Amino acid sequence: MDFHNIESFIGVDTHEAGELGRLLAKTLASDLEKIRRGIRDNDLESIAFVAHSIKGAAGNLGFERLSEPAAVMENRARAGRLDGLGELLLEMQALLEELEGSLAGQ
Amino acid sequence: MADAYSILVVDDNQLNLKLIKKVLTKEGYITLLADNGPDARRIAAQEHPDLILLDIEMPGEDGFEVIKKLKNDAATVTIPVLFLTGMSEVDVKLKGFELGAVDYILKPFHSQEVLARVRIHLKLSIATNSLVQDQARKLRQVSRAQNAMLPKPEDFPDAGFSVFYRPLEEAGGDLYDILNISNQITGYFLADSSGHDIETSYTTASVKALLAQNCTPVYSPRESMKMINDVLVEILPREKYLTACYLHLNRGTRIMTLVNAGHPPVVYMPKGKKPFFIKIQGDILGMFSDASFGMKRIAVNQGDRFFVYSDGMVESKEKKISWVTGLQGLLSMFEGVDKIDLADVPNILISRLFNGDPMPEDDIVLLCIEV
Repeated sequence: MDFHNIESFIGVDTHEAGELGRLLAKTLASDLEKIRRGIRDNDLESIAFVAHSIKGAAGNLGFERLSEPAAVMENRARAGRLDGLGELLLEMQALLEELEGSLAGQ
Repeated sequence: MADAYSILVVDDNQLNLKLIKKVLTKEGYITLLADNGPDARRIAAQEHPDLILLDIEMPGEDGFEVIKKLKNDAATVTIPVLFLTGMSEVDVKLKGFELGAVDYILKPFHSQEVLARVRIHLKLSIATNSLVQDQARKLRQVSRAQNAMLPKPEDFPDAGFSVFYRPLEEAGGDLYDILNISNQITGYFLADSSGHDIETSYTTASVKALLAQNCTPVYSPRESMKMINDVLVEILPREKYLTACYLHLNRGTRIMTLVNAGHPPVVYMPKGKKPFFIKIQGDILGMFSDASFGMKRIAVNQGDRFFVYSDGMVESKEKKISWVTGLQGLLSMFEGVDKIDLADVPNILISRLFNGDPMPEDDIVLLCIEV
């Protein structure tokens, strides 16, 4: 997940894309932590709310690879299912690391 | 350079706020940001943005609650609201529309879509505002025309009257008229229409024409009212009516004849004496073809004063005071009024009556007559 994708998707320069990419990374790190706590506490409502937020924010920046697992997680949580949420969390965690990597190489 | 349009963006997600701000700022819009409902409502009321982009899913006060409150607040009711939602269910969209949103943007959104929708709704808003301004201009014309129909004391130097007139809206529901019936006879008419709308102002014009046709030396005051009533029953829309009071002063005979049509009682103040009400029963005007109107004849002297007024002077829907209750304290307001120049009496009485309080939510007219 490369922050440079934001440039073409929204029509901003590299500096602005970096700014939005860093904000996404920061927000995502915090949101993933909330999901981790939600899984631990069986708090499906919080998981659905946070996954919904990630889905929208990632989609708005053109990161479908992130918004898709977030959408699956939201739907599962709303359906009352905890199964597979851990895997989805790991998938999103990996995407966050990718994004951080691209930002570090800026 | 034209003033930039301002847009309030409300979203609990900082990333979305920043993204929309970037997109809008690039196109020259001023952006105001809020990440929760109460802040959004405060900013909307203070800054009055041209448009609001409102996220639905927010912790605490959600977007539905915010829009409901915005639409219930006079300061923010007209601001167009577009809601942002990640939920594509029809129910969610319908709920947003029912609460007063003008459109929605599905998340995830593309920046160009946001810009396109913002532009469309700003254009619609500009067109609506222009329509409102146009309607306001027309109403002001009605107001000016109606005011032009109301006689001024300087136009009737022999009639001996002064007046306070304040319509609640551009087209007032209260009406008064002065009629030169003959060299010796002057008619004073005051009416209060049900409603304050533009239709009422046309009623005003009709009544004025009917007065001119029917208040003549040929008819007694009661006959004049009866004939006016019969025409009004035919022409007034259903549920519309007037309360009215007609005073007919014959200076030759020194007789004042009063006819009442469901109107609050006239205050009579014989020169040098205390004021009192002249209570006369009578049906309202324009509702019943078999209406009857009470009449009283009073022998008057030079310097006697009569005060006719609309119910807006004594009743308040806000304070739940009917004109019957409101009359109780009215007479005390007239103390010393007989020593005040007639031209100054209306304003003095109004300021005594409301004592600096805001004027009530009704048309107000006060007609002061000196024999």
